[in-house]
Amino acid sequence: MGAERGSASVRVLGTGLVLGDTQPVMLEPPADIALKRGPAYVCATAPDLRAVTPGLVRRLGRSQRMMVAAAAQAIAATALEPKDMVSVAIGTGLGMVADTVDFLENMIRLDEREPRPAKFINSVHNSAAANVAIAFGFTGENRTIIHEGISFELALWQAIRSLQSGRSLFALVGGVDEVSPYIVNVGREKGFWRDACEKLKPMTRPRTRGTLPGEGAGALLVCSDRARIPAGSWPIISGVRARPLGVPGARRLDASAEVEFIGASAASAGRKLEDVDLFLFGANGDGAADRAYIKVARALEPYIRRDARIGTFKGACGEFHAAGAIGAALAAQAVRDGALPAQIDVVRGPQKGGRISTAVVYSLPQLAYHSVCTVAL
Amino acid sequence: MGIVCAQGWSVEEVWKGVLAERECLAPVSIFTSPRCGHMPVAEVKGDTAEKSGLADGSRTDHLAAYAAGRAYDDAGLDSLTASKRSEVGIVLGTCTSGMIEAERFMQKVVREGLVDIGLLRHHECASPSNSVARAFGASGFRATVSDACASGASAIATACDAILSGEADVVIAGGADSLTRLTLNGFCSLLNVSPGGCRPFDAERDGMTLGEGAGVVILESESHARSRGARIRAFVAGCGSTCDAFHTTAPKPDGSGALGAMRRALASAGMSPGDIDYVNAHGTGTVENDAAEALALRALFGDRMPHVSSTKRFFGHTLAAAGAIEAIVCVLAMESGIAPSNLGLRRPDPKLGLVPVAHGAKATLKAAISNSLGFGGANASLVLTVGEEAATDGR
Repeated sequence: MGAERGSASVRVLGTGLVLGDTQPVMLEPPADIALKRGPAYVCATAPDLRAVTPGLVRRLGRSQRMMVAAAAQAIAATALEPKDMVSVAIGTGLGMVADTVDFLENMIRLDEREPRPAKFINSVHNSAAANVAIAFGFTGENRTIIHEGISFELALWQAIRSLQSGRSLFALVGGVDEVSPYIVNVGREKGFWRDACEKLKPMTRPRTRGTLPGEGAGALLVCSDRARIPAGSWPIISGVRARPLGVPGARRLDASAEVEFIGASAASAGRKLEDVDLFLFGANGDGAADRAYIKVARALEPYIRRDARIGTFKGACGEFHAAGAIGAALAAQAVRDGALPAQIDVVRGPQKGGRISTAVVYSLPQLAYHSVCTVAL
Repeated sequence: MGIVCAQGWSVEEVWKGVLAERECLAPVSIFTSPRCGHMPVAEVKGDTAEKSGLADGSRTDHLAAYAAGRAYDDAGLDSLTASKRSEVGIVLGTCTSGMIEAERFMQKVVREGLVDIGLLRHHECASPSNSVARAFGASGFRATVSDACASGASAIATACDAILSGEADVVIAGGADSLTRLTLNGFCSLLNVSPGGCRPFDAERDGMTLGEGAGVVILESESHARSRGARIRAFVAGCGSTCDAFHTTAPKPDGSGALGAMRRALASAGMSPGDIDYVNAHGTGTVENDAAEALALRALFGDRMPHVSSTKRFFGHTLAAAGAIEAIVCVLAMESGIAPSNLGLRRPDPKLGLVPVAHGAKATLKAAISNSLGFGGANASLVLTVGEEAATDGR
C-alpha cells in the first residue's frame, strides 16, 4: 500500500441534521413489558425522505430513516460523480436498537414460530450506511464504526483517510443513534439518566446527576482537494483525533494535556487557540462529566480570546453515542454561515454577534475517551 | 496470528484440521432454539471464559481476547518496552458482540418481568476491543468496525489506515463473533441456512452454515517490525472495499461489487491479477453469493484462474471473524505451499465456471486474495503476500 497522497483536511460541502424535539418527553414502554418510563429527547416528527424512493422508505428502520434523511440534506443538489468514488462512513453507538429488540421480543414470545426477517435485516449494524449507499447509488467504500462515544469521530477519521489516500473523492460521513424504552430503562438503572423531564443545560449546573438520552442523525458531505466542486468558500475540517483517555475519569483528567490536545487540532488548521471563535463542547449536563469540561474550559482561559465562545449542543438532542455528528454538523454550519446556530447554548462569551470562522469540537465521551476536530474557513 | 474456532484453539490445530479435511459441524449446544436448533453449526468447544483469562466479559469478548493473546505471543510483543506496549492500537470487527447475553436479558424481561442489567455489561460492540485493551494494557488508537460479514477484513483495512497515518505503530486487528440465537434465527428466517451444512460452489449448495470464533493478527509497519527484529509472517499488500448499493442482503447478481473490491485491493498493492496464486473466496454456500462471486472471479482472472477455495465449511461462517480467520488461512496456505480444500464440494456447479480446490493442492503460493462480502453490499478484499523466505514451494 502506498504512501500518503493528500492532506488530512477535507472540505465540507454540505451538512444535514435530524434532531429530536427541542424538549424531552416521557417515553412509555409497551404496556406488557416490565420497563419503567422515563424522559428522553425523541424525534417525533418523521424525517423528510422525499429525496428517496418510496420503495426504499418503506423498508427503512428508525435509525436508517434518520440517517438517510440527514444524508439527503447534506448532499442536497451537489453532483457527486463518479459514484464509485463516493464513500460512506457512519458511526453509531448502539446500532439499530428498535429493530433488534422487535426481532428478539418476537422470537422469545412466540418461541421462534413466526420470525420477522425484515427486522433481522434492519438489525444489522451497517444497515444505515448500506441504505445511504442504496438511496444515492454510492458504490465506494462503505464502513460502519461502532465504538461507544467516539463512533462518529472515528467514522470521520476513516472518511478522511479514504479521501487522503485517494480511494475516494467524496465521503458522506454521519452519526446516528436511536432511543428506545430499553435504553431509557437500562440507562436509569445504571444511573446514567436523570428523572426530571426538562431541557438539558450543560455546564451550568455541575451538581446535577445524570443526563437524558436522545437520538438523531448528523451528516457531513466532505471532499478531498482533488474533487471537482463548485467555486465557493467551504469550511475545512482538520485535526480529527479520537482516542481512549490514558487515565479515565474526571478527577484525574489532566486539563493542561487536554488544552494541548485541543491546541494540536487547531494547529492542524494553521490556527492558534486565540484564533478560535467557538469551542463546541460535548458536555451533557451530567455533573461529573460537566465538571471535567469546566476544568478544561478553565485551563483554556489563558489561551483564548475574551470574546471567544464556549458552547454546548446536547441541550438540543440529548445524549447518545454518535452525538458528535450533531456537534460537527453544527460547527460546520456555524463556520459556513459565520453565525451561531440556534441549537448551540453559549456558556462563555457573547450570546450574539461576532463572526465565527474557526470552531473546535471537543468531547470527553463517558470520560473514557477524548475527541477533537477543527472546522475553519 | 491467533485463531479460535470450531477447528481448535490454535493456528497449528486449526491448520491441521484444514489439512485433514476435518468436519466439525453439529447442532448448537450453547443455547436452545426450538425452530433452528437442529441446524448444523460450527461451535467452539471448551470453556471460553477460562481459556480467555478474562475475569468477565461476553462470549465474544472471550474469543477475541483468547485469539489476541495467541497473536500477541506469536508476534513477540512482550519484548516491546512498557510505553510501546501501552501505545499498541486495537481495531476489531464484531457483529454480535454481547448479543448472546443480551438474549438472556430479553428472555428475563419478556418471560419474568425482570430487568437484569448485569447481562448487558458487555453488550456494546466496543466490548471485545475494550476487553483486549484491558487484557494487554493497550491505550492507543482503538476502533470497532461493524460491516456485517466483511467486518474482519474491514477491521484489518482500518488498522492499516491507522498505521499508515501514524496513529499507531502496532495494531491488534481482526474480528470476533459468537453464535447467537438472533443470528441463527435471523439467517433461518431468510431461508439462508443449509440443513446439511454448507457446500460452497457446489451444484447442490443450499445455504450457509453459521460458526463462531475469532481471528487476530498483529499488524505493524515493515520498518517497525524489522527494527525490533520481529518475524514477519506476511504482508497486507493491499486492501480494497466497495459497496454494491443494490440491496441490504442480496449481493448484486453481476458480481461487480466484489470485482471492484478485488481490483481496488490489487491496485493498492501495485499488483495485477496474474500475480495472485490463491483466492480464499467468501463462498458462503448460498446460491446467490457464490454465483455473484464466481462471476467476479471470472471477470478478474479470465482463463488464468488461480487456486480458489472457500473454507467456510471448516469454520462455519463466523461473521465478523471470517475475514480475519480467512486472511490467516491465506498466510498459512502460503507458508505451507498448500491451497486448502473447498470442504463440502461434491460436484462443482457447472453454471459458475469455477473449479475450486477439491482437496489440498500443493503449489507455490506467494500472493493471495481473501474476499469478504457482507450484508449491506459490503465487499472487502485483502491482498496478502509472504516474503521469498516464507513461501514454501509446495510442488
